[in-house]
Order: sequence, then structure tokens, then C-alpha cells
Amino acid sequence: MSGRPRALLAALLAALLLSACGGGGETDLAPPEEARLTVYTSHKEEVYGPIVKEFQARTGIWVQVVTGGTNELLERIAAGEGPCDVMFGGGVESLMTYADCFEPYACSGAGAVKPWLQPEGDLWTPFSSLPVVLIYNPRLVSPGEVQGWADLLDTRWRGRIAFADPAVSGSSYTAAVTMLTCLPGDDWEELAQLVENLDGGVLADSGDVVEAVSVGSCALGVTLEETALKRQAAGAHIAIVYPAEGTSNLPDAAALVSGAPHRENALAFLEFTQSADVQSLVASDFARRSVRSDIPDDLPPEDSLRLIDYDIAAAAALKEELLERWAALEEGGL
Amino acid sequence: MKTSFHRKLLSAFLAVGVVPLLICVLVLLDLFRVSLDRRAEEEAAVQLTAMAGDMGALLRSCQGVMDRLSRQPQVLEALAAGEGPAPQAVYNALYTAAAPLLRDASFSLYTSQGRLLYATAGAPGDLSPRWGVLAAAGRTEGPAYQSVSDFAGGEALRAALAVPGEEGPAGYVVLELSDAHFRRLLEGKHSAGSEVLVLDPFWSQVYASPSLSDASLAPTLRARLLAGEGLEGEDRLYHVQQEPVSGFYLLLCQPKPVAGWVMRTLYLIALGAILLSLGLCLAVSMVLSDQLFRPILSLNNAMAAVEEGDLDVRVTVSGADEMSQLAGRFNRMAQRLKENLARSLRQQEELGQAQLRMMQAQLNPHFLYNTLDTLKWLGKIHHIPEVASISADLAEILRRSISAGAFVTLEEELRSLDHYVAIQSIRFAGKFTFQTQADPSLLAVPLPKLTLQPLVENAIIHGFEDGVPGTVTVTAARQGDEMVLTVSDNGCGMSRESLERFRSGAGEGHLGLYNVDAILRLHYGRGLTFLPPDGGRGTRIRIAIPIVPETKDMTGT
Repeated sequence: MSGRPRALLAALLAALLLSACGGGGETDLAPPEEARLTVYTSHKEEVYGPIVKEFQARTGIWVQVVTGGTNELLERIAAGEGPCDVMFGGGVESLMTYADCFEPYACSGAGAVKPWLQPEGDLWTPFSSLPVVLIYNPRLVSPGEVQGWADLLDTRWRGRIAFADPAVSGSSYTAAVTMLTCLPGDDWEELAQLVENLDGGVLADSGDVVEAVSVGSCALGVTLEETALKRQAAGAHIAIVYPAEGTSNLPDAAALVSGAPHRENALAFLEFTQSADVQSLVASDFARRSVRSDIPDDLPPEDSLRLIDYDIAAAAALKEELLERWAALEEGGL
Repeated sequence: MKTSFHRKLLSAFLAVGVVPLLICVLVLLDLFRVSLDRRAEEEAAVQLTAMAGDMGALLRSCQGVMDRLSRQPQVLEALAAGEGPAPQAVYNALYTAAAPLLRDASFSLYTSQGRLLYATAGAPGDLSPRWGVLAAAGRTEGPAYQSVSDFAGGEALRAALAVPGEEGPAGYVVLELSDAHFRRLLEGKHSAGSEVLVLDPFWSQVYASPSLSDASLAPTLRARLLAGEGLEGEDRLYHVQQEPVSGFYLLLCQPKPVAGWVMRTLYLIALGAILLSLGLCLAVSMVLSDQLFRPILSLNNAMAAVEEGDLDVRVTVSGADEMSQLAGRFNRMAQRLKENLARSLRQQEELGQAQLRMMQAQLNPHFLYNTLDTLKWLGKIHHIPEVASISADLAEILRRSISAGAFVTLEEELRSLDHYVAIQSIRFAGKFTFQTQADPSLLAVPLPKLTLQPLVENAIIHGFEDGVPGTVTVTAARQGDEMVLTVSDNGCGMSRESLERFRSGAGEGHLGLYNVDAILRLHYGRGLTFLPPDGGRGTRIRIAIPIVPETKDMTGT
């Protein structure tokens, strides 16, 4: 009689212990804190994927990737949301807006970086450079018909130009500033002519530009070289024109988040993004221009592009006024 | 009272009925789940160990092949020369070395520049010696293992062995395990319904069994691992084992032996059972408390009724339990109480009758009457009319007093009062006047004999003791269904001590007053009352007698 309740009690205790112990065990698979890195990136997976993978294989560091839009991620960093070590991607204009969030760091390979891409104060690590180009649909426009920025103001293309809203797209704003800088004459006058020539057909997103030209709903458009090359390789009906008046060639970059919990790993990642191996990949696989002068590519050499000296700080300062005028002009044109 | 009793019963029932059930059910369900989980875990561990062993064996064999290839003279020659003059010889060497594994893996040869030379089966094409697996192979002695993903869903395990050259690697022997190879290796080695994932050391997916529908499982698990959360899913269990040769992970994804919905259903059933027993406890405690409480309530009510004086109340007795015995006791007690009360009432009544008879006996009968008759005649014979008159009046009073009935009409009472006053007016000549005012309609109303005379006597004898003459007045008036008689005088009034004596019922001094009061109380339940006298002097006494129909017999002796 006394044996059975005792056995039952033991069974109950065992059950409670078992249920309390269950579910553990996997946590020891998780990497230790010093072998981790959190990267916020606005790049597409085809860009960050191979880099992160190779970085992991070479260093043994587990990379946790958080993807999103550039501004969204920057705002999250500014708000101090979650641990973040590196912001990877985003035009330097955007990064500059959030300069407070980042810690300057000069990579060991910085000497190989093209002089005009050298960051002021080493606030970021340039990753690739992205010239602004014009594209046209070769079925609608014959070669040589579109030469440069001046064509955007030519009334014969009125309503047939694909241009993204500069208030939404950072690259579109860069394109607008580049155009105004490259064209001689009164900037605001040219801006008014451009908006009028767009005839209300401003596209909501920069991704729509190539599409609009490729399907023929627009004859020409303004986009980044990388986007154009990639879509061209994917079969889009577009041809690329480097504007005769010259163009800008802004870099996108990676930056060390100040107060990064895994600072050492973050620095290793920054070094890696600027290493010759990665930069070769940038040129060979990503249709981007390497920021290093020692990496060859098949693209038209930068000397031939008549690159302008794009003043990022001035452009940032001008942004508000330009966008206000843009909105006013659009309103007036409707 | 009832709620508290009921609540006590209910909580007792709950403690006894539901709590052990609850504990039992929870522990048993948990025990059930844990034991099944344990078994599943053991099974998974066995399967995983077997699969990891197989994979390790395959990789070791592949490593042997790669080693052999890296030392083959034909291969070395081909690597040095690029595409050599006799590709058949190289292919021959390649296939011979890889012969036992041709269906399990594919092998290929790359130059130091990463150009693909020869392959047993589909090879990935040229590779960069500065990137990926070739770069990794250049950094290590043995083969380097890496996962390959082309970000379009094609994944594989790739290993490369650098063929040592004079300056850096002379070329690479590359092994690739693709989807089909993994399927061949792992299929049928885990229980149906479970899935196997092969993950690289950083938990990128290399292979997943075809039955796995969730393509984002590996990233999800990786995120959970990095977040420090357990791998256990909603209704899946995950078991992980590292394959030592490559450092890759095998992850077995098992449906929980008891699926979430089964567990939920079991808990639901348990909850149902608990609710049922809860309901039963509620009902039983209600019925029991009702059964216990109803007799208590009726007993309580009966006791309250007895307290109020109702001795006829009885409790219905049903059954033979303790409550019924109690009810029976109560009934007997009430009965006994009622009998006692009736007996004491009867005794009281008998005592009253005896007192009445004794009082009447005090006023002596026939002897006095005959003597007075003699006196009247003597007065007449000797021509002393006062003596004759007094004797006649006294005789008349006596006659009336000893006549049989206890009741007389008001008219008779007033007449007998006249006789009495006649006597007293001779005795106290000039001291008082007497007057009556009677409603003629009341003359036939019966009242106890000698009700008024003692009061008038009292007024005459005591009211004018101070020698001041006054008036004695008797009135009879109708008030509702009562006849109200008043006897008043304007004499000196009763002293306080006399009133006290009367009220305390001592009966001495004012025997007449006391008698009248006692008789009235006996017959009507209330005695005489003193009223404030008219004009502030004297005494005024009020008697109220109910007027009853004459047919009723009021001669209750």
C-alpha cells in the first residue's frame, strides 16, 4: 500500500522535472556574442548575399542581416532600435543626413580608393560609385538623337520623359541636381522647364523609370548606371547615354554605427567591403563601378564621363528649397 | 444563512472533487506529452546519428577520391597544361578514381585561374580563385567545404582541394553534392512525415527534403537561433547534429508526436471533464444544502412563530433522519407548551370563579334580609317611618344582591342604587345630592350586579369626609357599541395613597372599589378607569361595558 503512492509521487515529480527541462539544449549551437555581427542593408540580396556569405566563411563571424529601405533603416538606427553594427548601402547623401549616428573609420585599403570618392572625415567606407545616366528606348529613339541633359528640356520630348519624383527617390534628386549643375544658365529656370517638359508624368518610384522606357510608355528616362546595366542585361529594351554635358558619380557606402556592440567585427566587415576581392566582385558581378582605382572594369572609363564635382553638402542644403519649388511647379503645371 | 452554508458546502466539494482531478489531468497530460516527446527525441537522435554517419562516410570517401585525383600524374599534367592533348586519358583517370561514387557526387578539375577543365557530371562553370570555395581551399591544407547558393533556389555543398603547385595551388579538385546527391544519401533514412535539412556552418540551407514546403524555414530557424530563442516550433520539433567532416549541420524536423491540435483537444476534453465535475459539485452541493437547509428553515420559522405566541404551529416530519427527529421533538415540545398554557388558564379561571363566589358570600344573605323585614314591620307598628323606609330599602338591596343571576339590567341596577341612596341620604342628611342621567335606550343593557352601588357608596362615604356638601352623579351614555357609565362626585377626591393601594390590588379600605374592578376584569377583561374630575375636584370613575345582543346568555356563573 505504501509503495504505490510513493511510486506515483516519484512519477509526478519526474514528469514535472522533465517538462521543466524540455526545450533547452539548442542554445549552445548559437554563436557566442564575439562571433556575431548585425548588418542593416538596403542592398538587394544579390549584392549583400555573396559578400556576407564570403565574409562569414573567411572570418567565422555570424552575420545577421536586416534589410529595408535606406531611410527606414537610417531612422531605425537614429532611434536606437535594436543592435546594429554596420549600415551597408545607401547613398552618401543619405548617410550624411544621419552623420551623428556613425563613427568615422579609415579602412586600410583607403589609399587605393579613387581620390574623388575619398570620404571627408572617413565617416563612411565607399562601396561602389553610381553615375547618373540617360536611357532611351532604341525602338522609339534613334542612336544619337538623345545626347545629354539639354534633351530633357527639349519640348519635342514633352510628356515622354521617365523621371522619378525627387521627393521620394534619392537618386532622382541627385539626377536633378546633376542636371542643374551640368547645364549652364539659370538653375530655377531650367528646373521649371524640366517640370513643364515632364508634363505631370512624374513617376512615383525610381524603379519605374527603366520599366516605363522599356515598355515604350516613355521614350527616354533618367536613372543610375547600375540600374540601367542590370535591367539591360535582364533584357530590357533600353540604351544608355552618358550625358554629353557630364554627370555625377556618387558613391554608396557602408558606415560604422557609433556604439556598435560588435565593433571589431564591424570594422572587419568594412575592411572586407573595400577589399580588392569584394571590389572585383562589385565590378564583375554587380554592374557597379568599384571605388578602387586598382580594379579594372568593362565600363566606359570615368575620365570620359566628364564627371562633375558634386558638392554633397551643398546639394543636401539645397534639397528643401528645390523640392518646394518642384512641388509648386508641379502644382502650377496641373 | 443559506448562502454561507451553501458556499461552505460548495468549496468543500470543489476542494475534494475538482482540485485532485485538475492536478491529475494536468500532470497526466504533461506526462503523456513529455514521454512521447522523449521517445520522438530518441528516435530523432538515432536517425540523425545514422544520417550524419552516412554523410561523413560519403564525404570521407569523396575526400579519398579527391586526394587520389590530386596525385594522379594525368591530372597534374592536365592542370599544368590547361586542356591537354589527350583529354580521354584525364577523363579516364577521373572516372576511375571516382568510379564508386559517380552516382553519389560529382567531381571536377579546375585550373589555378578557376577555369573548369574536366567534370564527371554537370559542373558549376568557371569559378573565381579569389572568391568562395577555391579561395578557401587555397587557405587550408585539406578540402574546404562551403555551401553554394545562386540566390535562385539552387543550393549545394561544394568542396575544393587545392592541388599543391610550385607557387600556390596548381589547380583544384572540386566536389559538389547537389540536391539529387543529397536526396540519394538521405532519402528513406528518416521517418516519413519528418524532413531533413542540411545547413552550412552558418545555417544557410544546402539541402531540404522535397516534402518540406516551407522555403523560409532555414532563415527562420537561423533568426531564432541568433535571437537566442528555442528552436521548438508550433507543432514541429527540431533536432540538430553536426557532421564532423564538413562541419555542416543536419537538422531533422519532426512533427510533434502529439500535434498541437491533439494536445489542444486533449486539454479541451480535460477542461470539459473539469467543468462537468464543477457542475456536478455545484448541483450536488445545492441539492444537499437544500435538503439540509429546508427542514432547518421550517424549524426556524416554526420557532419564530412560537416566539410570537402561536403554539398551533407544527413542523411536517418526513423521513427518520436527525432533522426529522429534531422536528418531531419540536412538535411535541410545542404541543406540551400549549397544553401547559391551557391548563394554567383554566386554573386561573377556576380561581377567579372561586373568588367571585367568596366575594358574593361576603354580602350575607337571608338572615339579614329577614331581620330587616322584621325591622320594617316594627318601624311601621311603632310609627317610625324612617326605620321602616331604611329597612325596606335595605331589604330591597339585600334581596337584589342575593337574587340568583350575576347580571341585571341597567334599569334594575339604577333602581337598586335609588334604594341605597335613599338609605344614605337619611344617614348623611344634607351632605350630598344624587342625580342620574341615563340614556333610556340603554336601560335594558345587562351589566354585572352591584357594579355601580360600591362606587356610589365610596363617593358618599369618602368623598365628603371633609364635611363640604356635594353632588354624586351617575351617567350612562352610549359610545359606539359600548355603554359608558361614569360615577363622579365633586368631593374631596381620593388620596394618592388610596389610589396606590387600589392599583396595587391590596383590596383593604376600598373593598367595594376593588371588587367592582375585579368583577369587571373577570367579565370584560378590563376594570374601571379613573378620569380627571369635572371642575378639578372630586373623583370620576369610568366603566365601559360592551353592549351585546340580549339573546346571548351572559349569566356565566
